[in-house]
Amino acid sequence: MEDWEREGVRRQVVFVSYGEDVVWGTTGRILRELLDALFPEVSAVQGTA
Amino acid sequence: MALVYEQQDRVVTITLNRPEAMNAIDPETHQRPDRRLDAVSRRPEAWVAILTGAGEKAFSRRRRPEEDSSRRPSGARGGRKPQRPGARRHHPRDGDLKPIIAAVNGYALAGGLELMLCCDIRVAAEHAVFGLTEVRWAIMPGAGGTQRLPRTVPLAKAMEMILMGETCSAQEAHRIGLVNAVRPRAGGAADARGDGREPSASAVPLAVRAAKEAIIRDSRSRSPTGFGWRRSCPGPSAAPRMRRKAPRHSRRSGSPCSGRASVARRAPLTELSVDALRARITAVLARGRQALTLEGRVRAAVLVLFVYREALPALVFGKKTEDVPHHKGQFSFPGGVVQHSDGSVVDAALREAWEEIGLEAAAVEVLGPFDDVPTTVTNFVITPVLALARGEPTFRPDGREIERVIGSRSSISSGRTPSAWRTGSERAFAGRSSS
Repeated sequence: MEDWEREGVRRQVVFVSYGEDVVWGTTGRILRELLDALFPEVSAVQGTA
Repeated sequence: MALVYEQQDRVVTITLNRPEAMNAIDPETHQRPDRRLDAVSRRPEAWVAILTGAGEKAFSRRRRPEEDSSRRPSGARGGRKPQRPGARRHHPRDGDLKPIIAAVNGYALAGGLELMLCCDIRVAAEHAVFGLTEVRWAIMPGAGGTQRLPRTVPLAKAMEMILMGETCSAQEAHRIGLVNAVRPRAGGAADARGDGREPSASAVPLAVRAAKEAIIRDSRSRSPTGFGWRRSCPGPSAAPRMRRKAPRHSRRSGSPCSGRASVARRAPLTELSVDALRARITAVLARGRQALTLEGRVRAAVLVLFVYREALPALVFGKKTEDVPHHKGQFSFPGGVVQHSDGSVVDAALREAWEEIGLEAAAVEVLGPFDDVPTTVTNFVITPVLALARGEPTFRPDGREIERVIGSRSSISSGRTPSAWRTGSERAFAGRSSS
């Protein structure tokens, strides 16, 4: 998770590592929230940076 | 019995009962503490759990190498790699919203300390000794030890304990905040256990759970990167290999984890049947979703599609081409703006999936829309539509917007972390566009 500021708007951006690549932004956020909901017993975003 | 579960009033005591082996969690019982704590979570009459070890010598310690090797017959290949105690519990308190107290009645070394670090409150007998001593065996601490210890004690002390394999006494542990209290040895674990008091009558269980959840959510919002990185590194069974290859790794990257990809490929995968996954998704959707009003924003929908390949679930992403105006080369779920011609967000998600990755609607079992996600700058409200693929569908990326379709065999795992997020080798179906 990183705090980004864009066009004067400050927001948190989720990064999820995927092999050599990164799923981030809104897709990363959706992924994180979904996996959190589906697997509350584990941290669903181990790759969050 | 290697693990004893007792309940008195509202207090459950879980005792690691292998005093002859310093209560090391053996292969036979390595998952049972987790299961027992799960049982505590499920039982409304249990308000608090105490985790302790039998006898006065040890709370728990790591398994010996010979015990590790005994998990699999010599020469045998394949099969699942057993988890280390606590390995599933990278955020152990996520699913255990009742207080867990460690009553440390002796040595808490390596896996023992890692297990203790998973507990909310720690009480030590005065003769207790603590250490993450794995480096002495040419391995690195696991089960979250390299993350939780630095978050619990001053960083310099954590460095000393982890990098030097140093141990510390109960008194020192108390001074640095590793344990909450130290109790006299007389009575040993019993005294420590006695401190594991039940929440007072005024501490309503629901309030305790809510408070704990708030703490967990806060800690989760901080970067847990190390958990995932650590998991991709060699475990205890890799000790001989790490010793042998250490010089070469050092030359290449200076990191003992430089070979992580090859190890991660062998990471255990928990099969999650399609029915089990469907049940989980259905349960989540049944709770109701967070639906946002547009308030001037644009409605968009994405298809979050689970596909089964070789009995393992994967999520489907499209990788954008370098030709698109925005998000070049990035991964995304297929989707886009909901058009007037779309009857619903589901229709929009299916249409976009067809247009972008050539996925036929007939190959999709739609389960329902998930929580809306707003975007602050681009001004969208995005509705993820959750779905399961019927069989093994064919993907045909359009080549203009989507370059290829990818998934990960183990991006989703039941009750375990999605380790393959860090292993490029796990890409299961990377069909490139033919155009």
